[in-house]
Amino acid sequence: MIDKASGTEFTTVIGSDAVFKGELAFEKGVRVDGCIEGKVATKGQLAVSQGGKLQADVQAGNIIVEGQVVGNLSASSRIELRKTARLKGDVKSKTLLVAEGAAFTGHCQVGQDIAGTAGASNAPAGNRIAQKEAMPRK
Amino acid sequence: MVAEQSRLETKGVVCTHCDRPIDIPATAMSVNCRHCHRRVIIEDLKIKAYHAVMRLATAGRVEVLKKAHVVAQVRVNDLAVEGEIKGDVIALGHVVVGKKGKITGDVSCRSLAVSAGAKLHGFYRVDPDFMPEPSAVSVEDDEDDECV
Repeated sequence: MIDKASGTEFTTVIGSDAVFKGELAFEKGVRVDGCIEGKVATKGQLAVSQGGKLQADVQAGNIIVEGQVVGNLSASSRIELRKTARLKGDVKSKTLLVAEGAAFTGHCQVGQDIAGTAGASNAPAGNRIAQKEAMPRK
Repeated sequence: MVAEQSRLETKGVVCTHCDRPIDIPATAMSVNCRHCHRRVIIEDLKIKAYHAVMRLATAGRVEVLKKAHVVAQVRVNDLAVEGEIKGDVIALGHVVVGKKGKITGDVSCRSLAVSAGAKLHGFYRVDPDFMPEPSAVSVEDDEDDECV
């Protein structure tokens, strides 16, 4: 569980009854207990807690997901999908950690050589996933 | 009596060709699927070196060790990757990619664990309820497949 008590780690908390639409930028860590639609950028850590919903393209230093995300995630350092995470979208990061039980559909680019290009993709994740799933498999 | 009981023990696996469930003796290394009549390998495999085939299929576990390089369509139950895989992967169970592991290709599995340092490129479908749809496979369909 993402530590809600540690106020130092997350200087910004999007409360569980809050809904944001648009582009959000943060300097440090942010925890999302509510809902965000649009784009999110932070140099620090972004955490989507279990009840949190994110329909956005995200660019961050670290990303931790326990809730639902639809959109592309790009992290300069690390992405962690915990067991309750549900992600539909592309992932770009140096390091990826996926816990047993997490669900994830999307393109994945993970490795030390990805760091320089992380965050370059802006195409909507939903479209690309739909295209991929529509492709016939032998 | 105990020996008789152990001989009768069975386990359920999914055919690697037609994706239909079959019951097999617990100690079997390979069986013929009662649906598609094709040979299904059950045993666990350890790949230690370069290994290029059309299809690497087993209803057991595959370990791709550190210096191994697999070029194949991989269809397994559980998979552990410390080396490299080039090709699409379908796993009915757990996929573990170690810190030196590299997968280039699409991956479908029920659960995935990736260590820091692993390299992944491709389309991923990680779904705890993932089950490949049963396909009608006739014997003539892919006779040229080389299975391990």
